Amino acid sequence: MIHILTMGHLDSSAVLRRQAAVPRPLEMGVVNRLLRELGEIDEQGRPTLGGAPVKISGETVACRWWVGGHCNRVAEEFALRLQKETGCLMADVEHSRIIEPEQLRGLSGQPFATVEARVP
Amino acid sequence: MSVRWFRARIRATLRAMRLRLRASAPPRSRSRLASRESVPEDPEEHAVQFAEEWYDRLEFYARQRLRALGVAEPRIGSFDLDQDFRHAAFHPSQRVGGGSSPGARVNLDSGVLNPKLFSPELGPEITTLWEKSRLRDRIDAVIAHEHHESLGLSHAEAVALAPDTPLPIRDGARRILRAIHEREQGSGRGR
Repeated sequence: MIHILTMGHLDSSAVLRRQAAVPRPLEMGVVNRLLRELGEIDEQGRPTLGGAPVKISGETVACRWWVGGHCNRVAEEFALRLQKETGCLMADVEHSRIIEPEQLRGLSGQPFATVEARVP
Repeated sequence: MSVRWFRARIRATLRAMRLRLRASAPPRSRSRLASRESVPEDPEEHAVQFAEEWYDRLEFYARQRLRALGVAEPRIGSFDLDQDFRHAAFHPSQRVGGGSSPGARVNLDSGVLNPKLFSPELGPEITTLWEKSRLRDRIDAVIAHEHHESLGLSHAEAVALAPDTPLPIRDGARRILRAIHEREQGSGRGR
């Protein structure tokens, strides 16, 4: 029902097993800078993207993406910029899907959503 | 030594043995329903704690409901990586309601127990509807959604199709799914 966008240098074959295996950690300098640019801090001092708390594990970053018909475009923008700068992978691990940049709109609102990851 | 004296001695010995046994027995807990762990304030954490404690019942019910709705046996459940790769229809440590895996497999998770699953994104109306819905309606709603996604549809397509799913889900579940879909149409957003 809820989709979480997980970003990191993920092992794509592990994602298909619903596993967030990470051969190397994410560049935290870039993550922190992008969080400063796009994110906010909630009352508990946690970083948020589009109002959703961001979970940083040191190797991956994860944020609520689709909730019902609501899409977190700020999280998409963050993911697109992070992917561009670090070459990381984006995935919906709970649904064993790899997310391609073309599937995300971000804040520009461009309708890139023509490609869907199909898992038979 | 009369018979009366002998009987009195036996009674006294038995009473002493009973008292000794009672003293050595562990204190009886007041309730056998739940552990004495403190309840987390965060509803999401509480849902995970509850789901992990009552995993066996939830697994049984999730599996039963998936079967009742006509999901084929090979599509029920998947390996739960958080629980030593056990094959399960209910994954207590996950928090998103449900998920899907290759092979069109469907599973549920602790998100179905979280009254704030859609909060704050979907607003107070849907949050209240979800909160007040029965667990089996929530479970049916998640199964219908994940069933469509597992067949290769995108999230937005599943949101649109699930209210009219051919699966025999309960009316309460259709109400939840319809409310989510109508809110999406109302806000004019979607993938």
